[in-house]
Amino acid sequence: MLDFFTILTKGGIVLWSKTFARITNSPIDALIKEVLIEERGGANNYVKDSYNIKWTFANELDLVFVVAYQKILQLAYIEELLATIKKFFCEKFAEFIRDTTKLHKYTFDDDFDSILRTLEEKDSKNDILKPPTNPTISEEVIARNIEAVHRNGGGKSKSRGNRSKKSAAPNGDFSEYVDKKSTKKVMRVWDDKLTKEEMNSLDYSGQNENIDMSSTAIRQNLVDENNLGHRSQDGHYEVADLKQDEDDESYDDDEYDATSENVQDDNTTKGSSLFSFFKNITGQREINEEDLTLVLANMKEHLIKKNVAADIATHLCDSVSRTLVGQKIGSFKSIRSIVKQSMESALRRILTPKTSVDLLRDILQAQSESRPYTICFIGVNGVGKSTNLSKTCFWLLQNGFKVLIAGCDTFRSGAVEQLKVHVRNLNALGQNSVVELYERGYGKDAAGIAKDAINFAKANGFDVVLIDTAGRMQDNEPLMRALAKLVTVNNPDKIIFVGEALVGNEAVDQLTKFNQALKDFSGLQNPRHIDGIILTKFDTIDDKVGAALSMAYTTGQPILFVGTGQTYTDLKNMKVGHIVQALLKE
Amino acid sequence: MDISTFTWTIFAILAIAIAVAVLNFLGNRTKKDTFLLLGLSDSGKTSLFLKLRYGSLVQTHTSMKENEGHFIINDNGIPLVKNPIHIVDVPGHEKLRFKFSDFIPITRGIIFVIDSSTCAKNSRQIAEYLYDIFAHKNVKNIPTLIACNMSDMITALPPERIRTILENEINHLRKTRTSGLDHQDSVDEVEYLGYESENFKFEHLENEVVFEKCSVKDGEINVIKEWIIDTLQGK
Repeated sequence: MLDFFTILTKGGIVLWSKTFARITNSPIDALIKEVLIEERGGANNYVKDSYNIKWTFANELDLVFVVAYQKILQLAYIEELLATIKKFFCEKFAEFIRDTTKLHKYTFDDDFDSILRTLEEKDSKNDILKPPTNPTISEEVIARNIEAVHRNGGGKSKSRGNRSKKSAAPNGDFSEYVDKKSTKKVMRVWDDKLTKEEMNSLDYSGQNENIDMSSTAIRQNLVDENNLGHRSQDGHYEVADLKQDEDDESYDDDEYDATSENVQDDNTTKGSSLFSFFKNITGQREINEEDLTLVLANMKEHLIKKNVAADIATHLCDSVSRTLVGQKIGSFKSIRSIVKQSMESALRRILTPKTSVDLLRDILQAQSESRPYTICFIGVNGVGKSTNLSKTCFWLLQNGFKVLIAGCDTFRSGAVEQLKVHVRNLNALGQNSVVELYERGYGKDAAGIAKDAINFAKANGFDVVLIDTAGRMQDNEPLMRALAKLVTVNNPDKIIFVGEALVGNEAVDQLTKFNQALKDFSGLQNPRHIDGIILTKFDTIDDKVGAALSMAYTTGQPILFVGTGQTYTDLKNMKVGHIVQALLKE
Repeated sequence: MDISTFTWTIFAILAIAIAVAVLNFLGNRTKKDTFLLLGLSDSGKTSLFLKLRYGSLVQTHTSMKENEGHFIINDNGIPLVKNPIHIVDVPGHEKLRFKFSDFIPITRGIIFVIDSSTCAKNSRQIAEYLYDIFAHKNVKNIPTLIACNMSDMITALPPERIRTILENEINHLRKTRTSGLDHQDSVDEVEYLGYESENFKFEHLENEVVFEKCSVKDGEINVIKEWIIDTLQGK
């Protein structure tokens, strides 16, 4: 039923793998490149070609477990399989994995086979015994198709099966782990944290067997419950106030971590904190989900305050949480600083472009092929398409290119005249700069004008054609169709989306709908999509730079430039470090 | 609980912690014995890492995290260098590359791995990465080996050819990069590569750049080991 199961380190070294069928196109590489590195790990499965791929991390050992099966199959036991194998493999080979002095052989085939067989048998039994599981499975199918749902699977049947399996499972805390997961699944969208925590605190299965975790887990359960009441009252606290909300353990950690902070003299807290301090200093501890919930909730709120779209903040926090659960942290580190660190590298990864953003190099390439390089500016109304087009034009002129501007905004009155003024200014500014406007007035078909402009540019030896389009709202279907037509007919080298840095949640909607329109209305096999973003009005937002993150995350495309003012020179390259800093600044 | 004892305990612990941190920092600063494995994704960095470290190969996938470790170069059981050599394999994915700059302060040499069989197609990406490395303000004087991997493939280009391709490409890049737009804060940390009036050549760099062909798959990595020894001894 499966196609392959692979266990690899985060460094990319395969420890153990088993293939059941011939694998084409290396779906694991695709998974890593397109999902895990891009911090889209908040989702639960990934469909590549004909494979459906699921994965899980074992962060304490830096491992990734990947399983793939044909996407037409509906295998309810996959999550359980991943969890069981993870548990088993980590226990059996922990020593081997930590010892990096030599490459070890991992003889795991027999264990894997027996685990797989047990699960498959149980699954088939469940199918026969419980016909009502069918509706949950079809629900799963629907859920899989919805990108936004990140917890799916036949929760009910699995939790039941899991209980019956407890005797077979090697240790109690594993079944607790799966139980936790499955309860989440049952409550998917509506699970606000309070009920989830309640479920967890009421779930006593296997806790007494769990020796190494029991003391911290129970304490945390208790502390967490107190905390919940606390938090619901003052849930609007910032990250900075976090240490007051957190349980004393990480409270004092914070203080020792930040050496500049003064130690406050409070007898009662000191007594318990001294204890936990020494407890911490004696050894490392593992991060568990409860530790993270609160810190991440605050982090999420912080990101939203920085104008990051809410969906994206949620996805990002989920993804960060997955890479942290199970990781060991040292004595002097607080969870908050770990989360911050991990969030920083996640943000950096999202904002760093994955393709070249060297526009000039692209233009030189086109020049050597003796054709004009075409750039199409799209976006909603009033974001500054024409203004930033003229700024880009100024920069290109500075580099000695001949530029033709195609006035394809045939809709808004004054649009063409606006461009005329820009062209006059630009011609006056540069000594030898050559820039012309190609316009055919109003009310005509934009796609046709663009086509004529490109032909005109080719005939007259222009290097670059900048196509200015009319602004349109993303929900306006006729206009979106017209845009898709313009793109299809002219196939520009770059489609640049111009977006305001002021937008919040709207950014995601705009970009997804523009991309969707380009895809749906093009009628092409390989439709175009947005290739880059210009973020305008960047000087107006101070440190609320969330839109940059939202846009880069939604499209996966780089932010080419940011517009920072009214003059022609106010177009800058975005500095990733700057944005990351602004996002995390409190 | 006696408050003053407690406070003193805290101070003592803090002092020790700071001392350890400072020592660590200094220790890292003074030692420059790390070799970095850089290059595009799928060029064979992790395989080379495994081959150097363990002498054997296993299947690898795209790295999400750097691999690091120590190894000793042996010649029939006789170690050729005194101390174990520290190597770091930095992921080649565009979004993870920036990590290489974290290691630069402790780097003795850079091994840049190229897939010679796809080099012509990827010349631009390779050149851009190389440009970013050499233009980094702290990379000056770090010797670099450009290891043209996969020389066993039929389509593999010889190192001399790769060299000219990359020089041409960097020449273009130098022009476009320097005339790109300013960065937001415009703190320039980038060096100009080569001489302004001439076409770019690797000899113009302050770094010592060597091209060698190798094949991790066939175990032909002796040139790399020799280069590491030379670099370590040519102090």
